[in-house]
Amino acid sequence: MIGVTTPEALRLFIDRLLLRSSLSVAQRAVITALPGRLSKVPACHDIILPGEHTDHACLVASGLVARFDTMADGRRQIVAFYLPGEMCDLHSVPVPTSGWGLEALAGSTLVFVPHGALREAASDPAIAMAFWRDTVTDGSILAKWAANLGRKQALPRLAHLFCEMGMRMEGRGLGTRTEYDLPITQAQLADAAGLTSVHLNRTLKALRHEGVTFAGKRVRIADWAALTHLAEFDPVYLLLPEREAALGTALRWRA
Amino acid sequence: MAHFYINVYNSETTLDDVGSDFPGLPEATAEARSAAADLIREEILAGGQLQRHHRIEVEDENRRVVHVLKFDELIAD
Repeated sequence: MIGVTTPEALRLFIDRLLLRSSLSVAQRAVITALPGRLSKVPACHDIILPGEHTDHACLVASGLVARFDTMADGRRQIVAFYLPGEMCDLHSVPVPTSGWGLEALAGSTLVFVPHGALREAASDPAIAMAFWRDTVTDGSILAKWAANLGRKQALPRLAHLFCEMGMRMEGRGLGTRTEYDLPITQAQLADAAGLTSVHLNRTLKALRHEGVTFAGKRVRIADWAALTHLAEFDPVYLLLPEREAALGTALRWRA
Repeated sequence: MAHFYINVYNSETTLDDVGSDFPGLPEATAEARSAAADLIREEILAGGQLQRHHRIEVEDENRRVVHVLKFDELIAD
């Protein structure tokens, strides 16, 4: 994790793209050859602030990054998590002024890839389509978050977050859907779930009765089927290959 | 920034073992009110009733109680 190089990080990004798009060997080589500046960022460090102009996109090589918005009184709402291999702001290539910020939640290694190089890579229609699909995936997850934040009670909302992160972590080879590291503080989790720290604390306690623990920055889920039922979690919005999504559905109905 | 712990004493007791950083006591107290609103909302939606004696306590970094918010105070007579 510590010694990750730019090509290694780009290969993680290709793995992510290949979940939803097919790319030839030559097209993969174009992406692996992208220039990138490696940067280590400490936990709780802002990478980009709302309204800032940027000339590069930000790929997570290790750690965990959040997209957030800030209220006038300083409170934050986290609206997305980005795992290793995910490009936080590929959409900044066509629209380089951000309407939101990026923060490293845990100590993270990032690769800053110049917009110009990404634009050039996207002159290949298959790569452009893969990039497009990647940003659509971001949009799909964001829509689900909006619905959860707006309409779900605290318990199913937090349960949904744990289900989503389990599926995504497993998809990236970072643990399994029922046991994975979530390297964030309770305050950051509260910002993502749109809860006060007190309400989060209470909701985590209620989740423990359901066999779900978040302790030592590790999530453990005793009964996946029960949790997906409680959360009303259907992984279809993650736009994963049918095989993986079907596995999630099958597990859900096993209850 | 100062560290505060916010404990909830309603239908069950939930002690805050982690605590949170706030600019000062007024912000920690505002968080307690916000939490009370959340908890009361949840209680009502679950078909329960408000209990006037339920309360939230704010403790400072030395775990001394520096503010008590009784749900009682949130209701006008």
